[in-house]
Amino acid sequence: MSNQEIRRVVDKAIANPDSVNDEDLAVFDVILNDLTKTAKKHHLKERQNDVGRRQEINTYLDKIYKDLD
Amino acid sequence: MKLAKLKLWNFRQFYGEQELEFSTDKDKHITLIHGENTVGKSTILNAVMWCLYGRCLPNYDLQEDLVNHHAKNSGRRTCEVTLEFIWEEQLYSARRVFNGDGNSTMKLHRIEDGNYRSIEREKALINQIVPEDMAEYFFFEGEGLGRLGTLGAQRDAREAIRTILGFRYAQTVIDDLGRSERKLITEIRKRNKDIGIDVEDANDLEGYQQAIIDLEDELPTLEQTAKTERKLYDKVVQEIKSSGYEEAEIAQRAIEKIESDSNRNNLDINSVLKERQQLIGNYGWAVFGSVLAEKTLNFIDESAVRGRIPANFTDRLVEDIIEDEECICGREVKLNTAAYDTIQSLRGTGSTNLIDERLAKARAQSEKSKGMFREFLERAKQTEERLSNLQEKQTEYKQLLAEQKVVLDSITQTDIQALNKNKESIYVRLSEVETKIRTNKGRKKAYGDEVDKLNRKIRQNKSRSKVVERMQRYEMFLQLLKRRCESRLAKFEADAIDDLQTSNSQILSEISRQDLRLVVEDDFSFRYIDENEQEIGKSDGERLLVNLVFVSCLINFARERVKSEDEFVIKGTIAPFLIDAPFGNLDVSYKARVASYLPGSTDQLIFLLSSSHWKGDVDDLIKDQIGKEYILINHQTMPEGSRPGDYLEIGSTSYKLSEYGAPVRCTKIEEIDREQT
Repeated sequence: MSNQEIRRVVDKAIANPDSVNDEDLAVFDVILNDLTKTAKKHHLKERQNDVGRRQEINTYLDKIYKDLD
Repeated sequence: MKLAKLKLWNFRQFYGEQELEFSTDKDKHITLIHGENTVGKSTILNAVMWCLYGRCLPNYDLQEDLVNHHAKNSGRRTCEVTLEFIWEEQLYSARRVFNGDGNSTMKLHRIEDGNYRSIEREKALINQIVPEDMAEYFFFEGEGLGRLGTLGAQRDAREAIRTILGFRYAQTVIDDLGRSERKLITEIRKRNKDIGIDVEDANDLEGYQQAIIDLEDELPTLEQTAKTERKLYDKVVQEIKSSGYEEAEIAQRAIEKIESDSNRNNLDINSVLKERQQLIGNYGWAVFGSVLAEKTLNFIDESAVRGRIPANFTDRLVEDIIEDEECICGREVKLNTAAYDTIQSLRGTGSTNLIDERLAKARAQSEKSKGMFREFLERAKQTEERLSNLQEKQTEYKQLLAEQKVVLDSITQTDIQALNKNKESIYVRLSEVETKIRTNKGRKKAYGDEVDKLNRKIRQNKSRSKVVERMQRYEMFLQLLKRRCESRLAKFEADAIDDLQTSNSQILSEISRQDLRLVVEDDFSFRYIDENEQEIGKSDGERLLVNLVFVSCLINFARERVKSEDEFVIKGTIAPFLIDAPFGNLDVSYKARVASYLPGSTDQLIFLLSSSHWKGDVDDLIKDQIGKEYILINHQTMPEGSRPGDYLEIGSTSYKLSEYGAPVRCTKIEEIDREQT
């Protein structure tokens, strides 16, 4: 995954959402793996798992997106 | 998960502490527990269920009556079950205690080097390993299949299947992404609404700017017209003044003089009006302050209060006491007494000065407000008088002007009448043009103010629209992540369904007499159909067969994914298969087929068997894979010989399953070792 690649796919989708194919979307796989790991971690460990999980996921995504910006 | 050890303490038929170990050996992974009816086979299955989930299987009798009767008669009110199990190469201990009040508590620990480390979310972890909704499949009661037959259509069971297959967290991520996206869309909509106003503002701005341009275009023409009309007017006036008619000349000069005086007077009126406006601006606070002081501070000057405002005490109070020779408490305060000295020592320590200072300031401010208010009233009165005088004067000028006009109108000479008429019509036109110029200038200023206001607003909105643009990109980013997550999950699920259908159908084709096929829908509801595409009947034997096959395929699927490198879905797991009466309703042929198939499908297989289940080829088919084997011995207090004995024949060895003349009626667990016998 590179920021440049993600930016390219986002730009492509903004121009025409239907033009994005599975190959393009594969750039998000690493992020998704991290997200499912986070979901698992919170399911097993945190008491307020829903709130804590959403907060951690949002912070993680915000950071990634800031790097893209 | 592999079950390692089960300890029962005063639990149903098991008096005192009884324990057994399950085989965790890779090659010899079958544990057999033999016992005849009522001695506790189902109790062992239910002990595992109860320990993990706090409930027994629905068919288990007297669920509230868990404490062993002999223990209860001895005064015991509690019982407990401890289950040790291995998950992801870690040893765990789950211990549930029945508290005697109908409730139970469970504690879960991870055992590391003999140390017990507490697990906080014990229920979540247990449900992660073997979801409660699927527990009845993994801890399987072969004889109670009627209810389980519909499990494939139950929503909870479908979710549980997805959990077992490792899809729960990907679904959680999809839900979380969807939630974040929805929140963002709401925020964008809200902000876009503001941007919508921005578009209106831009239109308004354009309108105002165009109006200003139009006014500016029109103004020179109007001013030129006014100038021309003024010239014409002056010319006509001049013509009248030099007409040679004395009466007309006098009247016109008088009119000019009156108009000039009236104009000056008008300027004075405007000036006084401005002065009046300024007065309100300059003295408004004083008017307000004075009214406030009147209502709130006047009491300061009341004689009952003046100089008598106490802090903790005031010097004035001390002086009063000394003067009156009596304290406020009623005691005498005579000179040269201790009371006098005490009171005297307070003099000068009170906060009178500070209070006096503050009061003086408040009073001064109040006085200042009142003074200003008086000044305002005085000046307002003067202004009003001047204004009134000027307005009276203006009325007089109007009258004088009208009189002179009457004089002019009454002149009968035709040329003077024509000049006068012309002058009047020019005057009307001139007035109209001048009014229009004034109005246009006023409108231009008002439009200019609106333009400034809108420009400020649009500048703010422009920076806001950049934020929205960024939010829209972020929303697209979330949308794409979600789309990818959904497509990956859909692919995993489709593969899983395909795998389950294929493996089920393959196994059934080997062991079933009918041509049965598993159909799993997209939502993981499932059913078995025969060669006529009809759902299979309600025969317990057939249902037992397909359910056994379904769970073993599920266990196998999870096992296959233990070493999966893909981090997106949960790695597979090893699940136990504990079956009470596995062959209960199967005929001899099916019994043999299941016995030969099941061991290969799971890493841990635990059979709870009675002698009737054991008959046929079962032993021969599985004996090489048996790692642990137990018998449940029924201890009875009745004397030996009062009842026929129960025996279990394994190979050439006979095991006694009942003991008579025992001190306590209970079931005891005894391990048997075929190699030694």
